[in-house]
Amino acid sequence: MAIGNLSSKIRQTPSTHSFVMVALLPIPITNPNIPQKPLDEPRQTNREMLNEVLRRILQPLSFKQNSSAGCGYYKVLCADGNFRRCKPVLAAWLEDCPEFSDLHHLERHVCFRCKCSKNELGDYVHPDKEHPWRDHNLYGMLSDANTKAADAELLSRHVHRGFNVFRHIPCIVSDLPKPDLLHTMQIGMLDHLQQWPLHEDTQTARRVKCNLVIRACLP
Amino acid sequence: MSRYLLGVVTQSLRGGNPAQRPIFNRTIECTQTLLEFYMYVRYISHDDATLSYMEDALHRFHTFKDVFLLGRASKKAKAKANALRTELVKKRKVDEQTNAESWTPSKERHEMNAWRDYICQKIDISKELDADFNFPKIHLMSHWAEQLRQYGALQQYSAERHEKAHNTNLKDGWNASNHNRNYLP
Repeated sequence: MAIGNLSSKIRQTPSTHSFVMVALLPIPITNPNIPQKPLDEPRQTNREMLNEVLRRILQPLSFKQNSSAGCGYYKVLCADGNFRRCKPVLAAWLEDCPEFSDLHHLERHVCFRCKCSKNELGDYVHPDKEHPWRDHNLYGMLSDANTKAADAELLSRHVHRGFNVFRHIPCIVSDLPKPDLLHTMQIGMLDHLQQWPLHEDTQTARRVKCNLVIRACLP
Repeated sequence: MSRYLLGVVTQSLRGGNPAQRPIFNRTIECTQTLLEFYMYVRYISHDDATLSYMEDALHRFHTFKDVFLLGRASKKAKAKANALRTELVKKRKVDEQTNAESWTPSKERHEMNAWRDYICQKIDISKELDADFNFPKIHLMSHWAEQLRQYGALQQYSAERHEKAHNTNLKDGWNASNHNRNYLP
């Protein structure tokens, strides 16, 4: 976790401890003696556990907001000894795609920002014609409704049922995931771009493979 | 990787016969445009001009990406293509047996080559039909121009730094432990 009003010079240096580790997310113990359950069940428990942990971590954000005393603000002891009014807002998540999907209760291989359908992901999107954002408040209401029609609606939008922390925190959920250059470009697209020509036994593949091998030998 | 990828691709795809040339050109162009887009994304400050260059580079990448459709073929598509291949090979053998008497050696060679080209072409087409670029990361890039306008340079959002911070926060502790993960205190 980091705070927003740091200059990027400080934030980008790990030795300044700008990023603080708050908690380690638990992973269920795998015991070889217990027979494996069908995959859906452990996944559901995983999701519930993740949300429970996040709920406890983010509790100050969601509950102080509702208290009528400070109309959303609450007092925090600062380093200079004074109390200041503070209004924390959750602004950004940086992770890889699968983690985003887990956090937002979405299925894998969907866009977690907009309502783009699964078989349109590869198409070029014109900057003026972007898809509308995902409405997580609506998903929360549908999930609470617990009727068959609501479930079908959720399924059609590739959303899992169940409690999600982000729907109860004052923030724009579909705006949380920020562009992540490391995962999307360097070990995402550029990695793909290197692999694609090598997939088939074509003339292109043979030539590129040969040169990549030479490149790997160089310092 | 971005440093050497374009160099490797252009170096390896020099020359070639007229049939291969368009494919090679498109491959180089596709690699170049994606790298160009990456360079624009990493700018520390942006204005309307650089943003329009960036969107243009992304648009060009999407027009050229079809060269790599074969590389995107799924396992299912490959299995399907293999089934098609065995079927076509059977067909070829039947054809060979029926026409065997009228063939001279040179004609036979010619026929065999024609069959081989035909089979390869069919398989490529069947693979390309099933392949697509529908994965999230290629779609995420289309949001970046808008996010740049709202939140500033994307360099600050790279996950590199806190992945690096993992080293001190997590891995040092794990390396000092007894590596026993199935333990409840």
